[in-house]
Parts: sequence; structure tokens; C-alpha cells
Amino acid sequence: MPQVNHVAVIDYGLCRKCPFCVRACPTNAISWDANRDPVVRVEGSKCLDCTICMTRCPHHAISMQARNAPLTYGVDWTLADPKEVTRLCHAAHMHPEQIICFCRQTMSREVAAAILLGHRTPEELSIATGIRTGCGVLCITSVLRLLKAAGIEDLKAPGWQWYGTYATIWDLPPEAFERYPEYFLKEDLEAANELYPRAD
Amino acid sequence: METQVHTLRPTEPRASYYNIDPNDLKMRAVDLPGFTSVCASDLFPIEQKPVTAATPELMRAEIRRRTLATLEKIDLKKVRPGDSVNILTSHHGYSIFGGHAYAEMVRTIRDEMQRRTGTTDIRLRAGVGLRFRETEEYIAKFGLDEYFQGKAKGIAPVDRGIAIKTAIGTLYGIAEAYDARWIIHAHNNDIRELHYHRQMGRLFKPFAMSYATIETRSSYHQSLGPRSANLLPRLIWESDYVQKKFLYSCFLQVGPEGIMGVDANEDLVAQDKEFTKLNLLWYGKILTLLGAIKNVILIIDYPGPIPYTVSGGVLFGNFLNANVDEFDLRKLTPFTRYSDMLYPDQKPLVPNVLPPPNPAIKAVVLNYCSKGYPGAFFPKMLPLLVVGAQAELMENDEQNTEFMKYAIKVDTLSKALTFARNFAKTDNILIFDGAVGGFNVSNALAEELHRLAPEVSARVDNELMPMWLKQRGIAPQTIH
Repeated sequence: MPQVNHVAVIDYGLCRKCPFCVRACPTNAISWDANRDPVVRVEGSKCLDCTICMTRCPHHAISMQARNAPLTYGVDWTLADPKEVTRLCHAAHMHPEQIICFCRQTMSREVAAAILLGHRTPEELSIATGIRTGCGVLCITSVLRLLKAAGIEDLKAPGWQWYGTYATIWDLPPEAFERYPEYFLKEDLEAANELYPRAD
Repeated sequence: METQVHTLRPTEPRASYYNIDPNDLKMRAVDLPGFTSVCASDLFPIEQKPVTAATPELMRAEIRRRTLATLEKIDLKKVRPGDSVNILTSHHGYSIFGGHAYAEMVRTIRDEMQRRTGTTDIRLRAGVGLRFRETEEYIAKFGLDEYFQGKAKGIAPVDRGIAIKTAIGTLYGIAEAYDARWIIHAHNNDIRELHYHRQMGRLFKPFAMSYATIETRSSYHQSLGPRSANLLPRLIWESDYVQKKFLYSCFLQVGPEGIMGVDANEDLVAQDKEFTKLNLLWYGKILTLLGAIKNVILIIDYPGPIPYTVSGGVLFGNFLNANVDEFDLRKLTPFTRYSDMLYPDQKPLVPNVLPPPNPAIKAVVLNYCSKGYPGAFFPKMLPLLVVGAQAELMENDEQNTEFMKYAIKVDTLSKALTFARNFAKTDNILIFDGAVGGFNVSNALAEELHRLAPEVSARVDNELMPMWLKQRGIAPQTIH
């Protein structure tokens, strides 16, 4: 299983208690509570060293520091029913071994297994598998597609991190194909159906 | 055939969170023995000449003069004193040939807005790729916060979003990009990520990238398609929300020879079509020439992420795909995020559909680059040697947790190149070091490029250019 060796640490001399880091954290490792001291706090067991809080903090109040012991993350996908894992991946138009997080090299089968094992939100899936904890940008739609394929669509979007609306080649309205032929929509749909599994 | 005895100077190292300390960069590749330069203008002369000046100050003055000249045709009557204006910019502009030309274009846009409209509420919004501190570093480097009177800000895709209704549903822009009455799209045309934009709506792309939040960017890279993804920025720009704010666009014109000029337009569709022609003219032969090289070692030596390192005005990412004509829209290319996803190992999950990464690349030596771009695909697919302190940077890159598991660490650049030469069995070496106006190459590759150029030129003129234009709905007779 992969490990991380660093954790976000807040310099309370610089922190202005703005919620920027809370909003930017893909694993909800940082929380804000006006009724406690300190108001902003990092839960180390959820921090996967993505550095997003550090690089978005307007006050340069966060640094990544060495952990006393590495934190292990990852999901053994074989703990879930392999047939169900494959079915879920295919329903999301993904190969089970497809890389969907380029930073952590997370495969779709790991995220599918995590969903089947009870993780129900993008944040829970990030803590479990490490997905979305590198660049924090490229893989969110793959996570949302897998959740949708599992029938989990009633998620409350937190905003900032994600809003729950995205586009896929399989969902484009027919009029888009007619109106914008120069963008090769038809050709890319054919290519997608050749490269990726069909939902059925 | 005559080759130059001196080499073009590489881009200077950059002090940045995303790079090794410049003092830890022990040697630049161009300082190795046996290298020379090949100028783009010697290979493929073009009519339009690059902007040149004797000193950096004169260069800035020339960029200002050209920006003011092109802004004369822009109608600003609808902007009233007191109106807020966001000048939207992107990280890459600030890195083009040192970034001074782009920064001066941006300053001039600001000054001209204030002079002609009387408004002083003019803000700079600087978007990023995947390195969220990057434009803040550029804002500091170019003194832009002072210039914008404290109204310069780096924006990132994890910031608060704003809903934008498009023809295919709601997408999200970054709220602070659009938090003004008016927006100006200040960008650059260079070929850059041809593997993504395919020169189809290239000028629109930041509307789904630098100015967009994560789902829209993720849709572009993972959930549309390698060509159709380019519809997203077009739809966002066409939305009522953006159209009500959009004033004009202003582009720093860039080609393989250097900075070519500045162009502003109120009609982004028309401007995109013009730049499509120019980019095919300026880059078509250079890219086709690179695709004709059969064996080569690449040295990466530039303060940018691996795929964005530059040689002859084109990227490592372009070279990785150079075995396929990226301008030919019928073809899928080896490296995009859509193909990258399908390589859990060296063989793709789906056989016989995707072309392999350019097989001409026999080895890659990574002397200097930025962290902050997920690139495990590169050492998985190519023999890749990483030099000295750069290896430590990659080992600790949160976006490349697997990178060094596939790459080899070597102490010095000289040793790495010797090793690469031994197993690659070629004397062709191409350096991606950001030199302006051409390539830094081994003497053997210089000869090869000059030998191949005439045939490439004829092939592009007679065969490829008419096809590229036709695919984009452009009449060949409009090209000069």
C-alpha cells in the first residue's frame, strides 16, 4: 500500500482563520469551528500530503512537515466482489485497470471497490484510495461518474472543490452534434465506444 | 552546409517553489561539448519577422507600442468610469521567453483602459495550471501587484466557482475571474498543448482551463474526448454570462522564431480562425520536421513541467506525439489524458487503437524541470534518466508519487548522457531548454535537420497544409 510521509501544519502566528484551506482540502482534513481553539485544525489521519492547502493559503500559514510515522492509504480492490467491481467500472465507461488519478496512479477498480465497501462521497473516496490528492483537479469527474454508476446521485456538493455538474461525451445532447460538427463529437463518441467499455 | 559555432542561450533557471534551487543546477545541457544551434528561420524562412530589440527595455517599449497600436481598433465606449474590469491572464504567458513581453502587454492593456475610459477599478486575474502558487510568483517577479495598485490576484481551480449556463448544461468558472462588470481575455497563441487543443478553437481554451474550476477541467481531460473536449471552452465563451462581460481579447503572437507581435480583437471566433492559419504556417513545418527524425536522445533542461519544456518553440509533449500528424484531426495521438488513462503498464488496455509514443525517442535525460504536473506516463514509456538534485525534487512531487519508481537517478549530466548514448546508439541529441528562435542540438542532429528540411517543406506545402486547412473549413487561397 502507498504511504505519505508529510502532513499539513498550520502556523497559528500567520493564520487569519479564513476558511480558504478548509474549502481547498479534498479530504476534509481541515476543519473550522469558531467555538474552539484553535479555530482551524488539521486532522492528520486524513491528510494525504496533496499540498493544496499550503499552495492556496493566502497568508502562507501552512507548511508540509515530516510525519513521525508514514500514513498508509489505499484500498485492496479484491476485498470487494470482483464481478461487481467490473460491473461498476463498465457502467461508468471505464476499464477496471484504467488510471483515473494520474498523480497517485489510482485505478478505477480501486475507487469502484471503495464505493462497494461503503465509501459514499468524493472526500471519503480520496481518504480511502488517495484519488484527488495530487493535483486535485483532473480526476473529479471520474469519481463522480463512478458514484453515479453506483446509484449515488444525491450528494450534497460542497462547492469550491466540486459542484456536481460536469459533461461527458455520452451525455451530450443530440443538437450539440448537429450544431458543432467541426469539434468531431461524432468521431470522438465512436472512438470512446471503441476505447472504453459500454455501459451495458 | 554550415552550422553555427555558438549556441542559442537557454532559458535562465527560475527560483520557484516548483524548481530546484538554481544553485543546484550544476550544468546546462548546451554547455556540453559537441552542441550547436539551428535557427528556425534557416530551416523554414517565413515572411513575418519576429520582434527584436537591442535591449530588454527597448523590447518592452516595442511590445507597448504594438499593443497600443492594436488596441486602437477596440471600441471601449461601453466602459464607464467606475466600471470594474478584470484582465484575465494565464501562467504560461508569463513564462514565454522569460515572460517580459506578456507582462508588458498586460500592463499596457491596463494603462490604455484607464486612459480611454477613466475607470481605475482594473484588476489582474492570473490563472494557473496545476501549480497553484505559480502565477503569484510571476505577479511578484514582474511587480504586477504594485502596478495594479493591489488588485492583482492568482486564481486557482479549487477556488469558489460561479455557475455558467451553456448549451450543454451548467459548467463552472472561477468566481474571481468573473467578478467584474467586464472581462478582457489576455492570452498567447503559441502551439503549446497541440495534443489537447489540436488547433481547433485554441484561443478559447482558457475558458475551460485557467478560468474554470475542477469539474470543467476534468470534463475536458477525462470525460469528453481528445478532440471534442475543445467544445467546452467554446460553449463557455458563447454563454450569455460570459458574452455580457466580454470586451475583447488580446494575444501575444508567438512563433518558433520568437515573439511575432500583438493582436487584439472583439471577435474571438474571427481571431481564432486567423491564428489557426498563422499557427499552421508557423508551426506546421517545424512539427513535421521533428516527426521525420528517426532516432534521438532528448535532454530536458527548462524551468517548466516536463511536457511543457520547449525547443524551437514547440514542446516535449509535441515531440512525444511527433510520430503522428497532430494537425490531422482524423488521427488520435499517443499522449493525451485520454490515452494516458489506458496505460496501467507499458501496453495499453486496448490494443491496436492508440499509436505508441514517438518511437524515435531512444532516451530522455532530465536535467532540469518543474515539479507539479502528473507525468508518470513518461518514465513508464521511455528510458528516462534524472540528474542530481532534480531526482530528489521528483521523488517528493505530490503529483508524481510513482515517477522515480520508473526512472533512473544519475549523479551528473555528463554521466547521464554518456549512458544514454551507449544504449540509444545515436548521436542525434535535441535539447528542450527554451532557447529563443531555434533548437540547441548535437552536430549530428543539426546536419540531419538541414538535410530533412527541404523535403518536409515541400510535403507540407503540397500535401499536408491543404488537408489541415480543409479540415478546419479554411480556404487554401487565404494562406500566404
